[in-house]
Amino acid sequence: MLRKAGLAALLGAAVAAPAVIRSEYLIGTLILIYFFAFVGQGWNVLGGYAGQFSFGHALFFGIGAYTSSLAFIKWGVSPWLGMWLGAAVAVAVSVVTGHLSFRYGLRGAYFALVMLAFAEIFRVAATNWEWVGASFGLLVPLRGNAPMLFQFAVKRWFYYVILAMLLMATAGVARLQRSRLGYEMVAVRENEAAAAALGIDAYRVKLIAMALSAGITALGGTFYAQYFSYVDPTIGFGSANSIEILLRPIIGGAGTIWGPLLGSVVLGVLGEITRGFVKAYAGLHLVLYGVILMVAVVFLPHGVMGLWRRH
Amino acid sequence: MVGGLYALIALGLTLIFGVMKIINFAHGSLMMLAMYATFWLATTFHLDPYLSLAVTVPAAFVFGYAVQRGVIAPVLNAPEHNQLLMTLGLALVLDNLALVVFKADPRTLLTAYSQSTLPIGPLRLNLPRLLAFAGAVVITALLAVVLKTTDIGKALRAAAEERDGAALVGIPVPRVYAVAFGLGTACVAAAGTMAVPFFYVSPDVGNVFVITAFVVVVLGGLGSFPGALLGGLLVGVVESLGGLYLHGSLAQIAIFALFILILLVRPDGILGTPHAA
Amino acid sequence: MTTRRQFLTIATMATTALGGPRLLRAQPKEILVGETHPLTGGFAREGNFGKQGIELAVNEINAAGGIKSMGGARLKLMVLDNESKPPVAISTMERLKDAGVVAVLGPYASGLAFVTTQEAEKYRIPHLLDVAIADQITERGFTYTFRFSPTAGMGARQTVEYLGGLTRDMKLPFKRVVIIHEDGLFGKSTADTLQRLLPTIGMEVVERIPHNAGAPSLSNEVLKIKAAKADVVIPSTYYPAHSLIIRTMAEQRVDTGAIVSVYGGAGSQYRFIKDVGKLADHMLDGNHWYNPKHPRIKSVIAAFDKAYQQPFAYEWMLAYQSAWVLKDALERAGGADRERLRDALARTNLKDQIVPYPIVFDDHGQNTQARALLMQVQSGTIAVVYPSDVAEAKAILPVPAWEKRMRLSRSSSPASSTG
Repeated sequence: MLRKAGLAALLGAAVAAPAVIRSEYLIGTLILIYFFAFVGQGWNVLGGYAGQFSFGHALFFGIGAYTSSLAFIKWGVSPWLGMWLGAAVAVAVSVVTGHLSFRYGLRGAYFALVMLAFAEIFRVAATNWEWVGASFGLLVPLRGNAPMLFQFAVKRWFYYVILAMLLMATAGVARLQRSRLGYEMVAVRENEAAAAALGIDAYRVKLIAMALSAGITALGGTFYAQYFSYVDPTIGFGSANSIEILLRPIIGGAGTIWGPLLGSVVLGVLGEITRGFVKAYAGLHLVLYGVILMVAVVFLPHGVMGLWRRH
Repeated sequence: MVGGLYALIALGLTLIFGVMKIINFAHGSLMMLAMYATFWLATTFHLDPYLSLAVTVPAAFVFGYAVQRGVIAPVLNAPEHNQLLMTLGLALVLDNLALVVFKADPRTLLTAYSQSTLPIGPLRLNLPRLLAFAGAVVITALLAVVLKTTDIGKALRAAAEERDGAALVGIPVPRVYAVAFGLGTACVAAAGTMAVPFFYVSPDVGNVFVITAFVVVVLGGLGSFPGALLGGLLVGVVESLGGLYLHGSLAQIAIFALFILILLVRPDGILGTPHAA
Repeated sequence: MTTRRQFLTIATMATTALGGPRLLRAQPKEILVGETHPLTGGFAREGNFGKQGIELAVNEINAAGGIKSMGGARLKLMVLDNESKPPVAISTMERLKDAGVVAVLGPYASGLAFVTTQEAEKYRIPHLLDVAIADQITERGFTYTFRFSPTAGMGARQTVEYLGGLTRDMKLPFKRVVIIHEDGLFGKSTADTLQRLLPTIGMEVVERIPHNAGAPSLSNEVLKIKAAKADVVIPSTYYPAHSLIIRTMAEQRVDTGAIVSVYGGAGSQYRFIKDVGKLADHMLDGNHWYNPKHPRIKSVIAAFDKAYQQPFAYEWMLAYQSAWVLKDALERAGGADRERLRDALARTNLKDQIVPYPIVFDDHGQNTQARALLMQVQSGTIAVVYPSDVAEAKAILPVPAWEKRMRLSRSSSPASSTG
């Protein structure tokens, strides 16, 4: 009961925020926090629930950003539709990478590395392919205030869009956690051999997790492209992006519903604070991210969520 | 000729992996640190880069030893991905600290012999590159002797083969692990120091070499020393020949594709002994 | 649309929040000018140059009595670091908007300018660019973006023109050109433009050699240059690779008639000369530069050197110039109002600046009269060699053979190192 009331209050606050907050900067910061929570949620399905740590999720992010932008630029398809195209392409690619990785039994570090390599191949390919803008990348043509084309003159609408996306992803993951598939994912994560003994098809479960994860992450890619109206191979497929995607769910708590959002809030707030206070050494917030990651790995193996959830 | 350096970097990587089963994402950052140390020694104390090996390599060993004790040891029994994240966190810290301290600007150390070449037939071989290659081979040979003959070498190999067994026969496994990480760091530091006379230094310079070193390690079989050496030479040759036929980025794709292929089909590399996954 | 009243409220709120009562007492009014530069990250070096250039100009402007049409109002800078990252660049624009700046200067890099110009448009804040050379920035129909400096395309066209003029004047039989370019945005697009334009001056691209900007060795690429028997070599790449190409060419004794670059990574850079010494000599580069005949240029460079102990770099010079363009527009606007300032900027007509061209903006906010110049490194200094109205030295061409140059330098240069 209390929990539900708390959640409702939080949601109310999130919806009301743009009406109260006058600062564009604060709104922008919140948009980025929600955005990273959203793609983190995508990573969380595969990395957190199914226990397959991908170091190359920028692959799906980039596919989402590129597909919707290309569809808009080349054929005038609205990014609202393009984002689902992007998700579809990402799912298709994920089935291929997933099939290869899981069929050959890649696990742990090997899986992480292979995903990194796949993302790098896409990055180099995108850098050299003229049709997708090569190294220049893609500029989404601006049409002023065009809600039908996923373009808003006012930042607040982007805020509501990403808030809605985050809510849906979080609700989806909450449902997944209680579903049979969710249990199977956790079983595979905890002990693949034991799960197999119980008749769970680990290959199938991991592949589905990969596809879901890829789809969500790709939707985030489209949001990025529309919000920034610019994407290039490094922003899209770069390894730094892959790391950004996985940091938040891990720090917040991988394999939990609220972990990605929590991690995103923690890093977002800390990042802005360090930016504000240690101006002379402005790169320092990234050092801090690293330290937080290391501390979290040792002391909070279940992320910040683990602090109040007993395992 | 860069192959020799790849081999040396890969050797450090594979030593750490072979003994501890940890993929060290901070390897490039450690190399970068050694390069800055060399650069700084040369500019401040006018110490020749090759002489500074005597400083950077032992310092790197101590640093690696301490890093293992302080940072890696707490997660040795944690799930594998937590160890990856630990080295990733370490890399984030070191790289960005370097960025804050040294700035992003690439720096070059120009020595009297930076441009010296040995004419061999129609080719002119750059002296520093040649020295780096020779140095890499010497250090590799030295390391092989140490591992084969000394007690600590035997302990390292025992811990690599069978951790619990090694502990049972009285080998101080935690210390052996720290030594392995120290040696791995020393290897990559040596490579970094020897690269300074012919390459620039910048906070992200480690990636230039280490991404390829990852491929080398996988190619040669994670944890295999001769594999690292052979893989290094092979990648070196492929890269130079590839450069003649494939242009820049396509060669990169080819290397990543090869990397994936080997991981999928022969995760133990061309020389590695297959063991149960 | 922000009305004047709204703007003033925001500005008052911001200044109160920023400076408290101290500001209320300050006599000559202050005009808050925003600046977003990459002070950390990949462009940290250039971004800091930009910050220093603007700082120098603003200090000069304030010392000379501020904006006279506004009762001697002082310029007050609000400098934010965008960390070389587009998302952070967006958040700096938001913060500058919140603070109520009258205009935004910066952001050095094209990748950053794509997002900052877009935000400026959204918030209707005049945005005066310093370097950002990608042509597309002023081709998106924005009305609040102004760029007084030459674009990538303009620089390439002008450099080819200069090269044609130079070889014609000196009667050099240069025909075969090899372009060695990094396979990213900058290298490739420049190479494409050059390949299209070089035939107009009777030169032919006999080979294009793409390379990876982060490659640890470029020996093979340089051997290909040798095999192609090039009269002219054009490296189109970033600093580390550019430096590596020149060093490897020296090492392999690859002699050519000329080495030319357009906005070259190591071209027209004193740090390159500091890094490689004599090897930098004779390199040609078409790039942003100052008018060496301008009476004030020597004192500006000296003032910068005194303040920051840095040699000349066009990055700070353009940022410095941008602050003066803003000052001129503010004088004419007569009030710290964004709309009036925008209109004043659009009507800019400046002559006799330290940049070697007049400053006027077309409908897209681009200064079509801007131009690059052709420079050559000559015994450790960078001298303008073309076009002749601003040239301060004669070009030394064809470049002497490496063997000869090495023998000369070996006797004179001991081990040296630079930072």
